[in-house]
Amino acid sequence: MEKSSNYFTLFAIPVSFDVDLAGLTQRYLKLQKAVHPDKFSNAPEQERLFSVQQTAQLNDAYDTLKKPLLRAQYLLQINGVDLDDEKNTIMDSEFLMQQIELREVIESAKLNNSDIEALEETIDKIDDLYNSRVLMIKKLFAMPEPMFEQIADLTRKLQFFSKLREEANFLAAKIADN
Amino acid sequence: MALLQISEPGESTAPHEHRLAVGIDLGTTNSLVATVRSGSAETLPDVNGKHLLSSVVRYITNEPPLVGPDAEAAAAIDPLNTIVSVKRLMGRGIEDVKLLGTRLPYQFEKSESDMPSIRTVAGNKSPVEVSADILSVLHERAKESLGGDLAGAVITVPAYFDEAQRQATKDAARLAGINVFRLLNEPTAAAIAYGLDTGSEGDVIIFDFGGGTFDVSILRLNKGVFEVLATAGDSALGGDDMDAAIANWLMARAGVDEAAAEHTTLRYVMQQARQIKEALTEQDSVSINLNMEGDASWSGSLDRSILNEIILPVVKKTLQPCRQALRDAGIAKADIKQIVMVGGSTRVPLVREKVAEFFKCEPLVDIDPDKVVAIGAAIQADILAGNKSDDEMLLLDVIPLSLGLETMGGLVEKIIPRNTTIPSARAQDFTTYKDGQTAMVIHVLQGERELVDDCRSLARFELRGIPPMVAGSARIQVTFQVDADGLLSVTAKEQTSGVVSHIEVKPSYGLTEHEIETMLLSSFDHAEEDIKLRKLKEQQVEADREILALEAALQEDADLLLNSEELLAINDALNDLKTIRQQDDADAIRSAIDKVESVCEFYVQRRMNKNIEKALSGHKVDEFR
Repeated sequence: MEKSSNYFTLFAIPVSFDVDLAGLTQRYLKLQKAVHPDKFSNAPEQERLFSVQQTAQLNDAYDTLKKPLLRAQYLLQINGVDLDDEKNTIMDSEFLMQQIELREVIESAKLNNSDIEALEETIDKIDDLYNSRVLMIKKLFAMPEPMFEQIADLTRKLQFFSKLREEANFLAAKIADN
Repeated sequence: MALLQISEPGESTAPHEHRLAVGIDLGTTNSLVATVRSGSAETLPDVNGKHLLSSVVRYITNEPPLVGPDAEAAAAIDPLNTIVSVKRLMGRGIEDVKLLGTRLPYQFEKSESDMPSIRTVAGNKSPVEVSADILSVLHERAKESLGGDLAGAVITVPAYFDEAQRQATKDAARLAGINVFRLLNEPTAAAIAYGLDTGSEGDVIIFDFGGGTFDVSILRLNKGVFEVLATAGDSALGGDDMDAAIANWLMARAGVDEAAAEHTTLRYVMQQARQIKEALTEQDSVSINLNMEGDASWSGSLDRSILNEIILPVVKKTLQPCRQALRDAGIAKADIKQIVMVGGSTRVPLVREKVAEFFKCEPLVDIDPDKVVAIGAAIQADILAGNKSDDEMLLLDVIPLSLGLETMGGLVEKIIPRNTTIPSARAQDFTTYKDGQTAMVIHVLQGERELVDDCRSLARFELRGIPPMVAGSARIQVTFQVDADGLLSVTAKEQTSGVVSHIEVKPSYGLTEHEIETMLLSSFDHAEEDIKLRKLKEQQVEADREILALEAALQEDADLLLNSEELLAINDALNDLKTIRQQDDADAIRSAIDKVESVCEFYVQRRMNKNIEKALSGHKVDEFR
């Protein structure tokens, strides 16, 4: 299998943002059993090497299709939309304000270590914002002629929320440990 | 009546013959070897009937080293030449070693790599060599007890071991002449030993508190699949720390100044501390008589409640990684179905008590916590040797720490985040910083922090021959590939010119290839002849493997996947290999194998694709929604 070949083809599922996770996992496990290096421990070197490469690709494909952000990025990529395009990173002001507000809560939680409740609230808020955008992306992808620029814009916002969520989690963990 | 087949002497073994395979638990305090015989897994005893081998090696002038109880007995009288808890030093640099919590009496020397060597009367010994000496004893024990050469072994490592530590373990096995099927995470082995792979579903905690390492892992079991959801721990926390806490308490009572104490005194007090701890797992109180060099002595008693106070700080340190693992796995305490206790330190009542209290769930303690890992490893080794062909079990592992690269400003860019399922391959593009830049340093790091200085440096290599271009226009693709053992290889490729640079990552704290070769050489008495023979044997084994596998494959699907021309080419290469295999020329055999591999490359690929199609044959695209 070529590195560039389509992850959806690998799992023999339709190219879509709307993925049935249980079914995907079932297929993933079946494929693992067919290619995993443990099934080739007595095979010649070359086959073992192939098996490692195949399994690596399979793991990467599963990880990508499993997570909404990575899935959206991947779908945009195979449709030739460049997310890193500098010209397109200008965000609307409402979104920027929201970002600043959320960041402020996180920063103040960083300063006075104890404010775990405000932080937990913010985490919930980020999750809501994230999930609502995933739903919008799902709707947009389901349209007969998806508007990729709009999806790309939402996906970039998803990236921000995902990063923010990571930082907040890290901080919550630190506070909980003290 | 079926006739029994007997193969010609010296001929390769038949494909379905039972292969000898063992599981080895290379522990900080004790090591074990186990195997599956007539369907059940058991640890193998030495000639005296002892199963546990103390992981202690004593070096002696002009004699082979002592390993096990004999070495341990000498620890107090000959501390500088008696290496204990060497696992703590595996894959560590001199600076790390100095930071280790426990006081180490050894005299460390710099070696060719950054790995410390310990000065002994038998010469400088790296931790890898010391581990190899332990493994050799277990290897011999297994060969004698099973009556033949081993096809291979599964060796366990803490789930939290980083790349350098895993590599060091594999190097030690290589020095001991052991073919490693796979490095297996200790918690996974423990779950296999408890048979949690059959019938049981749900999330399981493996609480592994050994002599020198602490690991907590969360495994998800689902239809014979083990998925490591998260691992956390502390590779420098263990029963030794409890011993040290007790030893400090004892020295304070005896009026011994810890900082000025002799090595022999420290060793003696540590041994006493360990005995007291062990006695107090059964008894409520123990009386103590300390007699140290220089007239210092102390008599008194210690009861369990005081012991609990002394060791509480150490036990409490295990709970923070438990919280982290739960968070990483994204699950709550209530989701935990079972807790498996592993490692001698889980015999300490306070440990069981605190674990039960934390998870609100009583832990499993039925299997001897010292043997459980070796038993699980033996079961896995039996499967990997091909002795259970219809087995459905599959182990999916994750990497414990993120892998990344140094970028401008001393920052780390993560390429493979921690808890990614392995094997894994990820590529990322980088570019040049200056106009006309023709070389680039690729600095590989491991860890979670953002700054290079806070992460562990695994390797550095240079990509040269980049065509001079304006800054930012070169496209250098760096690919990280991690195999099933968690070992990394890195490739860097300049996209426009195709300049490629590839390294197997040899951690900065590992042995250099040159050091390994030297050690292999010095371990043979008749060096050159033996090395030649060994090389020939290795190639013959590989040739047999190739021939067997290819013949089996051709029989299965040659008619489906190959046209007559392709089949002819493969058969020609195969027959050449068979002829050359019978001669005693290692290089010729190697090139015949290479020839077969290059002729068969497309065929192996087609077979793999066929496997993939077959795996999904029950599914159809339209059924999937």
